[in-house]
Amino acid sequence: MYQYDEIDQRLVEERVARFRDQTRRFLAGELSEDDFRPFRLQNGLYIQRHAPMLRVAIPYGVLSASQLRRLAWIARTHDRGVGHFTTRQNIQYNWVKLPEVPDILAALAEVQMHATQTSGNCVRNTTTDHFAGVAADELVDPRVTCELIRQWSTGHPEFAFLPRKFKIAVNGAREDRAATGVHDIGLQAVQDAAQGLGYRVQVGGGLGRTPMVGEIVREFLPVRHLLTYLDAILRVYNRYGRRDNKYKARIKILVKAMTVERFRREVETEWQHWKDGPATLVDEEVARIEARLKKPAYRALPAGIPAALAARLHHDTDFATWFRQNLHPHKVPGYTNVVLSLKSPDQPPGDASAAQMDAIADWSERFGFGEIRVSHEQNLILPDVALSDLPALYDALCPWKLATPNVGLLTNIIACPGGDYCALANARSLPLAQALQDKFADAAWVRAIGPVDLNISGCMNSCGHHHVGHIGILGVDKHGREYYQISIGGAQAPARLGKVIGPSLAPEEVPEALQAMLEAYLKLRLDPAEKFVDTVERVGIVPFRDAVYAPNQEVACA
Amino acid sequence: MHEVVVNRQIVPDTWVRFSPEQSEAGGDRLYRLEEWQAVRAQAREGRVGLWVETDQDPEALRPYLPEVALIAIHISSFTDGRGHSLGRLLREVYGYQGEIRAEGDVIQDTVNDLERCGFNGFSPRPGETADNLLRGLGLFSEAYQISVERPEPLFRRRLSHHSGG
Repeated sequence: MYQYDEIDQRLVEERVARFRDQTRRFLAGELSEDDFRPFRLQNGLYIQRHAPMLRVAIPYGVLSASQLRRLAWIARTHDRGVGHFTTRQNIQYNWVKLPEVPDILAALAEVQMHATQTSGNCVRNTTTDHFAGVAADELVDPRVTCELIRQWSTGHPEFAFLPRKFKIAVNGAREDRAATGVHDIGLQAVQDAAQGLGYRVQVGGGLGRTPMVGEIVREFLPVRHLLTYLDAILRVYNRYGRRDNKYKARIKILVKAMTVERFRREVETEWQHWKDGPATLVDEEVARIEARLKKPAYRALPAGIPAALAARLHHDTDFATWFRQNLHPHKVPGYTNVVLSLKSPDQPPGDASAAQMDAIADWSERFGFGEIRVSHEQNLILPDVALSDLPALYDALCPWKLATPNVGLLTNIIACPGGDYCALANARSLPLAQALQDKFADAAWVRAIGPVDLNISGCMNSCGHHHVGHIGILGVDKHGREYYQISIGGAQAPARLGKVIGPSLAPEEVPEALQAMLEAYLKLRLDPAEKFVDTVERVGIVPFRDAVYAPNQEVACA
Repeated sequence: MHEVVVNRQIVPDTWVRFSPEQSEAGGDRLYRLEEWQAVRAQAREGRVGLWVETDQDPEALRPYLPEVALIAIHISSFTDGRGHSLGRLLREVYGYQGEIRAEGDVIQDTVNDLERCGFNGFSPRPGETADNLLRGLGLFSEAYQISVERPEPLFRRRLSHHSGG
């Protein structure tokens, strides 16, 4: 994580003081509900079904042990002992009390955290690869860029009231684990031999009601121009984005209406006024941020599997399964990244209890360098674990139900909180996720199916990112009843939008439908190496549609 | 008289919207762009201001900027952020030196950002007071970004601070 200096600290404290005053005036009746709304949203506070919900930013998904302990403390003190990790590297508390929120924000500020701009029509928390800085396939560490963007966007005076929300994602690895194609701005870091560090800039991607993959606005933007170029994009959007219809207000609609060629020209023209001006980055600032990102003191470890680990792998098949499924290659020999699945069979996806959070913070210090990552797949990650420590870590995780070996598999369900909590939802996500966990309880069968991203959103706002799930499920309202629309063939990188297979289904029909599709896949795949999503790509959706709907149609014809 | 905040001082509002019936009278008059274009050739006493909406193209104002003492930007709802960009463009690209005033839905909670975007005049909406607007200004001791009030970003100040010891 980036360690604040005294100015960063003062700014976050001043922000808390301001929100404390706004909350006081709201509670005293001096600030109306309508006037208060945009300001509470810009400080992460929604009014939900049961209680206000507070969304706290975990900038680019990096947490220190003391920060995670503070999140646990907030869950215990101000919520019901649980936090929900979201698909955008945030944590949500579903049961906070409005008068206590300024105190929660003050408690966050003490550990250099905030809920700034986690909602509202402004630049939101910037997200990135959850293995940033530790992935074996990394080209450029995206965290410096993310911190530059965090500072640039925090309290930006010009862009607090955009037409709509604005999400930026940065990726620095070969594999795009940040889904840059489906963000308002997606930055792919590139190390150019001649020009040094820069970005490929994609604009106008997004999910929601009108899912789109972003267009490339610039093939290479040198890092020194990052902030002036972002200003230019945002200014064009702020001035020309639609404000008459909130469903047509995202930048993707503007880019489409303008065409990417004209949008690019507008941005370049605007940029000329600011390019090479004072906001042009200097090397010293990049170096200053780099120095403030805590660097682990890695030991020189032998590459390869240590003998004790090899022995455990040999005689403990559960351990071996977890080892194969939940680790991700590390850039430093002898180390690995361990994904702690928050998708055990009886747990709402992405939820962690305060006790689990405290335990994870302890392990991060015992087995790593006191750092934890939050993934957009709603899992937590312990980076920097020595291979020789894996047996001890696994034994620690098991009693806490944090070693479910399902990362990348069907039961690693990604889901929004849905209608149980969210006031926007058309349908509930959590009972469906539970029904699917029950249906697919046979872990060996789930492993035989292989990699599947299963995403559930409770409404068109697509917080569960169903459009880019290999299997996407969208909750819809049909005559006052919850129904679910199934799409297949989506992917987050390279971004691809799934196709709807047919009419929406009643909740009790969904597990059966998935089972039918997956059995069809087992028959259709060329070999076990062909993933479900690749089979869909090769054969199209028709065989899967037939697998789900044909039996009923035959009955109807008879 | 209606009170407004100008350059962080509470002052009486001397500006009156133009109407054709009283076009010969002196005093500070606010015109819509097309109104000013129509009467511009006629000599008159008093200062001239332009009254524009947040979607105003600043390029269309360019010929008149040297002769107007005030540009009043009417913000019909404070969640419309276009005026913020307009203010910055007028100051930083067009070099406008006169008063830029926020009119309309202006409350204590919005003036800080507007000031950073180049506004130096604030007219409180009905029910809001100039005293409150003053209280809403200058809330933050630093800022990361460049804007009108701080033409250099924080990282350049950090640099000079460190090199200066």
